[in-house]
Amino acid sequence: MRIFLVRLILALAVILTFPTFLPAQTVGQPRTAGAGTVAPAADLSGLWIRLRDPSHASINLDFGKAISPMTPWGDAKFKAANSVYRSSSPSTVLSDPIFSCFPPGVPRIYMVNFPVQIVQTPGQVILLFEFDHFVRRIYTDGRPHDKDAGQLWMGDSVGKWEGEILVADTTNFNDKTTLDREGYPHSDAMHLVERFRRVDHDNLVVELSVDDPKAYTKPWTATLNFQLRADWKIMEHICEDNASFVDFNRKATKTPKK
Amino acid sequence: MKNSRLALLACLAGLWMIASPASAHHGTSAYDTTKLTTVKGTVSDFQFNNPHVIISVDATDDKGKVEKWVCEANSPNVLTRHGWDRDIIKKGDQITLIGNRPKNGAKTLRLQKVILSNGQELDPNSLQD
Repeated sequence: MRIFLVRLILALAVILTFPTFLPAQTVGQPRTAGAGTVAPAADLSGLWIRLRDPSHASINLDFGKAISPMTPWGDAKFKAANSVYRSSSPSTVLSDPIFSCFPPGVPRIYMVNFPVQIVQTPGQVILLFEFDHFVRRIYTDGRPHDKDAGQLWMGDSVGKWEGEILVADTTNFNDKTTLDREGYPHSDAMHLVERFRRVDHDNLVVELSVDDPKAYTKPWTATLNFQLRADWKIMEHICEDNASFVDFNRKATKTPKK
Repeated sequence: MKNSRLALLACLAGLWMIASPASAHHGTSAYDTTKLTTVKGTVSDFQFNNPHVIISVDATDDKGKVEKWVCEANSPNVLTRHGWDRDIIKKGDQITLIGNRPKNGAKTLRLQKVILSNGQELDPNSLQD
């Protein structure tokens, strides 16, 4: 019996060490990265806060005059969103999707009063937003847009360096977000280009161009200015933890009993 | 309301601050942004949490009746970067709150300014230059 057990154990040892039974070292190859990974041409890293547009008295959450005239499709969508945002309906403050914790989309992710941390690696520029801890990855390794990505809340971003300017190209949007707090729309065909330029140590300028023929009669460009805040850190911000806020606003919008 | 001079100053300040980030964030329609309401009272609660800081006060009206008010300010993330901390207001403090009241008459305010008992003024909104 003992000899049988020894032989059984030896046999099992041989079988189990046979390469077929070893776990695969690689489950599959990652999606093909581009062959053109290069070191960043400029350093955009740091914690940045958006400054108000000079035409506004305080920090603005809308693009204002930068926006081109809308197509009939765009105008209808704008009126529907804007009327809900601005109406005296009891559900006013509860109707904007971001209050239900849906992603704000791009460029609306910039139109909030919270900072963004930029981290650079050789193949990616990563934007870590304090607002509900959203992350955008701009792939700078030469890869094309992901044709299988479908329609995304935050789009699919690839970028390249033109001198010291990071040019980010984003497509694959859904049409479920608005561009800003006024409710300006975009379609799922929106093509967004952002040019990130660090003009000096403390200042970052982002020129963003919206090309969306379904929503706007011509492309338009807006400029966002960011300033470095070296003494800040990204703080926690959890959208789902808003029960008290929703309740507060529900009370403020309820029709009082007679 | 007493302190009519304060209320007048607050109204003038409010007209200047009419495009505040808080109003844009929430949508202005539920709140009357054409005028400011001033509430003086004793702090009964101070919630320094996301998404919005909440200050609750017991205010005494002209007839001596206590009214409970609940006032909402910005996110603590924003406020800590503009001089606030979680100890800046404490239960029992005498405080003046100035803000926009909802159109439905609820005893709530969206804050535009806070005046502490030592006279220090706090701006709950962030005005990046």
